[in-house]
Amino acid sequence: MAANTSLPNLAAPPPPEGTSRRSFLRASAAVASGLAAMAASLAPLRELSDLGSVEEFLQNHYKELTPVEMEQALARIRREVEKQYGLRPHVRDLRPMDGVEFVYCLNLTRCIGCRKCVHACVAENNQSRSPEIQYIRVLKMPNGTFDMEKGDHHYATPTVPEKGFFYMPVQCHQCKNPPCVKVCPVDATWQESDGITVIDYDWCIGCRYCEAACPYFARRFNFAEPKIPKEQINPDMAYLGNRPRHKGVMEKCHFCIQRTRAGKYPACLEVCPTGARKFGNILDPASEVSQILRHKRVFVLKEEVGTLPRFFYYFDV
Amino acid sequence: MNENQKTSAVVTGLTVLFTGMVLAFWMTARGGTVVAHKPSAPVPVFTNTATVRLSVAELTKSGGDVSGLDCYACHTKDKPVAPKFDAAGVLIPSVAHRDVVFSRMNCAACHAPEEKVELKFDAEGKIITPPAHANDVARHGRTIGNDHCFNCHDPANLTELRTAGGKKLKLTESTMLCASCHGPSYRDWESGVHGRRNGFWNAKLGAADRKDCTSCHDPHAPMLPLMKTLPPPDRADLKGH
Repeated sequence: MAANTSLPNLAAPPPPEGTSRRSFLRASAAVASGLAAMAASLAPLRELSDLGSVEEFLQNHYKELTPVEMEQALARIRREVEKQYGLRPHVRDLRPMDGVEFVYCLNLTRCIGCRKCVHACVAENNQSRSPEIQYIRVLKMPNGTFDMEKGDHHYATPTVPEKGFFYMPVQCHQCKNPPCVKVCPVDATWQESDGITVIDYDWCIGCRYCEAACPYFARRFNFAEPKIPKEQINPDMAYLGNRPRHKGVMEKCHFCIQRTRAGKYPACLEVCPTGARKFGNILDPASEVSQILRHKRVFVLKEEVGTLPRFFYYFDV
Repeated sequence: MNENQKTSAVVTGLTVLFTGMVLAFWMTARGGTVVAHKPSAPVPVFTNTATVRLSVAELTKSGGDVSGLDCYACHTKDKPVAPKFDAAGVLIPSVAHRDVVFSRMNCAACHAPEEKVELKFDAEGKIITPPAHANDVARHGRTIGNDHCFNCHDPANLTELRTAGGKKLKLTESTMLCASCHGPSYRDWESGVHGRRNGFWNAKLGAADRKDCTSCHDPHAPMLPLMKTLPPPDRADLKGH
């Protein structure tokens, strides 16, 4: 008897014999208020938007999506963007072109460090404005030196270039031997056939191993839910490119996949006022980048780490 | 204390615990560990793809209709352009549009067609600039100063160009005039390595927009002007996190 009454049997009222009406009511009220309190305590969970939808949770890996499943995923992204930013985006899944391998060349003689590329990239690729995420860092170093540890990327002189300094923008080098891809424990990032290393933002678990592995500080982590003003959203999106990301995933430069796989130049090149940035297909011998690799003095950053970058720096006269 | 009282005590204890958890949860959820500040306002000048200036060729092609040209690469719409005049009421040409002002000057308004325009030099051999041309600045060449009008302009017709080899060119064909001295730059420009190309890298999908020399360089002072530095990245280390 004592064992039976130590806790009220919720599943089977009326109460077992030996319990008074008063104590039953008191216990019931206490349990009810306890449950109500628990429900209330869990209520904020319903408002957590960064948990993502069930559909997103159940979605398969990018490489294993059937065309129908990809259509469903794109439709879901369209719905989510429309709900969050109030505009219907143009989301596509662009695949690599045959016979194309992208290469980027940057002329250090021409770069003046104006940072237009940085801001055009943010606008094009729907990066979080707050907290701030930028794919390109422009290092300012004194002429005649090459110590990146002492490179200043916070310089704020009103005009550039400053006498006696050179400027070196650094972004994802789209390595042929990418350490970031090797360390990913879930295959959320991989190298495509046109040389772009991409991220499936729905598959990334946010462990940040890739950020630690990258020798170029190219990868960025969404520590908070990204904030982008509605009127600044770029509606031309790609699944592996600039579609809005959630808190807790990695992102990085993807050579503007939504532009370059449609034949256009990347946004950073489009705005560069001095023509320091060159982009194209290295497999086409007539392309600008082929010309540069044939005729100019090019080098890659941190050659000794063996990453084989597809991003070349060069000088000319 | 009988069994019922024990039960009530346990349940009341649980209720208090849950209520406490509710309060704690709401305070952390609502009290807000807000990391972020307000997103910045849109600044179109960050993203426009126009060149730093407009060339004579571009203005000529526009036929006076500048609506298709991106004047707002440098000018902002809410701050209209205010032309500046000197004490005598003569327009001071802006640095970026100097060659436009040059080319639109009607030489015949001041110089009779048959008048021979002669350059005057001082005792040291430096050119004497007539007061009417005081605002025309020529700084072509970093060291030797290629600032003689007829090195590029045709003396017989100041609105046409003439290469050092004697070949006559229209103002809109200035690229070939530049090429007559700047061979390596022209070679690189031809292959797309020097200067700007916009639009499409893939010719099958669209056309590349190749800019002329004078789209970026002022022929009278070809060094690019200093440019405004856009804001640096946030200093996370100075914000206390």
